[in-house]
Amino acid sequence: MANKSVKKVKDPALMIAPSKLNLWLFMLASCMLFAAFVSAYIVARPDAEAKQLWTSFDLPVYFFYSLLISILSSVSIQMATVAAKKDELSRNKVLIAVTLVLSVLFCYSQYLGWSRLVMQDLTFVNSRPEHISASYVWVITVLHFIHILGGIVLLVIAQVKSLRLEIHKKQITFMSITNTYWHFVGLLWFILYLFLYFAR
Amino acid sequence: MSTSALHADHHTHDHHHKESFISKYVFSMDHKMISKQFLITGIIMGVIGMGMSLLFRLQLAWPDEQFGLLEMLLGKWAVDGKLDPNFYMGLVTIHGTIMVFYVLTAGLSGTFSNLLIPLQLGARDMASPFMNMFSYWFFFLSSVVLLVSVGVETGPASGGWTVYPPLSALEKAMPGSGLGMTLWLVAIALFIISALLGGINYISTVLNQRTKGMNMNRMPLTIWAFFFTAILGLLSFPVLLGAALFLIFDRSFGTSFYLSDIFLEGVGALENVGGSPVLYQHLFWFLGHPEVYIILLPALGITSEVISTNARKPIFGYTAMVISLMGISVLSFIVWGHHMFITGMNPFLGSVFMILTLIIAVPSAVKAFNYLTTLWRGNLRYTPAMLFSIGLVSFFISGGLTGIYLGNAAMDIQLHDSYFVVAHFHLVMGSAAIFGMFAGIYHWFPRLYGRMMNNTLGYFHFWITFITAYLVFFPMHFMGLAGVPRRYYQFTLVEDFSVWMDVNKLITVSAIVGGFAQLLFLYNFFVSIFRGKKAEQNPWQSNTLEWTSPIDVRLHGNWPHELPTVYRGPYEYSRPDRELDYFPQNEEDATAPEVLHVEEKEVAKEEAPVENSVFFAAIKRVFGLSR
Repeated sequence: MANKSVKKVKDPALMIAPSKLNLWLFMLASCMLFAAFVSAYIVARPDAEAKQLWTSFDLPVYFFYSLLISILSSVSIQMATVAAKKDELSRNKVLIAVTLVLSVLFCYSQYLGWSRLVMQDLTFVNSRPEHISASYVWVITVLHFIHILGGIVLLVIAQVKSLRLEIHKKQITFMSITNTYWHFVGLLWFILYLFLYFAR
Repeated sequence: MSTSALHADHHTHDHHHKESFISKYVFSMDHKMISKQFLITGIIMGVIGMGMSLLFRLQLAWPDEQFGLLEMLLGKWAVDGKLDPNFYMGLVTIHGTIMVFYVLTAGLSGTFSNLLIPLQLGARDMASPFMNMFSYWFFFLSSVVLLVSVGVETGPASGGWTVYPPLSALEKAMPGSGLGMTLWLVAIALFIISALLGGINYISTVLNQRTKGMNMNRMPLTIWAFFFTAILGLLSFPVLLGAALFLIFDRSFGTSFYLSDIFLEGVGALENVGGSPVLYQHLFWFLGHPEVYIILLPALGITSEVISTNARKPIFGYTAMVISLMGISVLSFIVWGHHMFITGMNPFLGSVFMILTLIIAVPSAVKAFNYLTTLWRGNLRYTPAMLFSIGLVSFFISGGLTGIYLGNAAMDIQLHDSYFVVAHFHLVMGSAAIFGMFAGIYHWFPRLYGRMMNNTLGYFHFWITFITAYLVFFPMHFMGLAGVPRRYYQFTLVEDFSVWMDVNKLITVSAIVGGFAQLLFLYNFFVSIFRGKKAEQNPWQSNTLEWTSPIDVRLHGNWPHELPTVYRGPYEYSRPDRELDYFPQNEEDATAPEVLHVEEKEVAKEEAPVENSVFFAAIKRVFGLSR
């Protein structure tokens, strides 16, 4: 009787793969890092404005293109994940490849955006005192770009795994992690872009 | 089936694998070995940090004396046996950095979170043993870089452990602002990576790897404390990383996030302006205040466990203790401004920070009250661990009370940067946490090494350390109230301060005696590892699961066969219906109402204390822990 009962004792542990939970915690930590930079921007701006050391400038349109690309890539990675869950492996391979192409396009649009900033004399190390606002834009966008590079590494691994038929209905964890992370960096860019656009 | 259970078979096979010396002792992925690595590194860093404090205490007590020993030890930094002022500042800075981050954060939390989270939860190992190993090695690398920075030509960072700009941002500001400061930043960046890798692992393990029956309301308070500590670290260390990145950019790239309008010898020191040094303080203290609790909460968790075990009583107010830990954790994020009352803060904002700060006294008082009521009329066993835990409670109360003064904006403006502040945080954060760490070492030494430490040496260690800690830090309150500022190199040149020279001598002599007492501990610790009396399986008659895993052999996977199943909470001591005065969590008793069998669930629910079930149901809902 006792042994029988033991087997029925409720197990409270969650049904989440450790790697997935770790990813969520990492994303939380990343959010705090960006929150720090965004808060710094908000705190620094009034002081600098009072000393007439703050320049408002329009964000390069290429950053908006980055936003559109990131939305498209989120759609494609989501479709790739759904395809993997349905065991549609060819479709999964193609959609991961599409996401990879879009991620490269995202990087290119970022490069064009930064080039435009440099052309406007809005460099990371501000060439004029009143351009300190540009330093913030550089820090935030470059740091986000580093997160994108991490996502591209995941996408490349996912692509290789899909080509080796290691991603399918019963082996979905890595695809799911890549999907979550790519949505995260996309959402992050959406929020950061809106912030930089409206706070300029 | 839980993730732990899923991995069970895998791990039981694991411990049969032959391990090489490198994989067993160096790049180990066994949480117990990593715990020892954190502990030994923490002890080494602690000895160095304390040694530094003795050097600058010598300077403060006998500023005009020449100590040949100093010249022999420090060379050009102590010409004619007198400490160089710049090196004095460097010692103060590195002492603070080592003690706060390397001893009381990594040394304390790294050791006991690693040791106890899997063992007390009934898990084979951490969620990611690989990340866990990296966490230690980043910490080790960080320690090496920091120690190397002490030996560079221009001296270590010397702007105080908070490294406020502009001192830390301008290389020309002082010798320590050169390479030493750069290395300090590198060391802290590595440390943050280590803390984040560890923190992610701790949270993930607590949420995901608990054994059968280990509901969150059955977790020992140590685990709750480590859990909240890890959350604090996860949310606050990235902000410090942000602050450090801005500082690196200002120092090395020429940006001006923190710098504006600085002139050296009448000439503008900056090419770029427009930043604000106060911004650094906001970012730094957003970590800095939670850091206080990152240090203190593990010590409080350890104390809960040790006091309950050695009082042979259930901890008083388990639920209140958990809520207090949570309350302290939440509040710690919204009080950073109390470190900045004198930065020209808007008085209204200052009042907000003041009120929030004073509210922390409520959960803190609940914890102190619960410790005292657990001790009250208990069958106390005065083991060294118990004495150190009681010592923690003493420091927590005496140091915590002065926090109420400093949290008051009007008082803080007077007391800021005085010895009152030094006294406050050395008692409530420094001494309390280090006593918690000692309590943990004495209590879990048998679990770590399978042997017992010598109790007599432990008693001497406790009493000398306890008395000298008060002799060192209590008089500092009076110095601070009289306006004596902290971080000064010499007080004899100002009459108002020179009257405190005798007190300074008393403090230094006490510090030296206290320092020598630590040699007793070191002797006891290292000799007991090899020659201590062999420990019994459960030497303290404790309820928690770590004592059910074999302690005479090191087993990667913790339990040779099945993982233990948990039937009750961790603090069921002196139950009247039991012959023994303890009731291990894994011991089955079909007649006990605490056994939550599925078929009896409804009945048990009715019998469970209402406040427990409601509280934990709410927690589970908030954190999404219920299935």
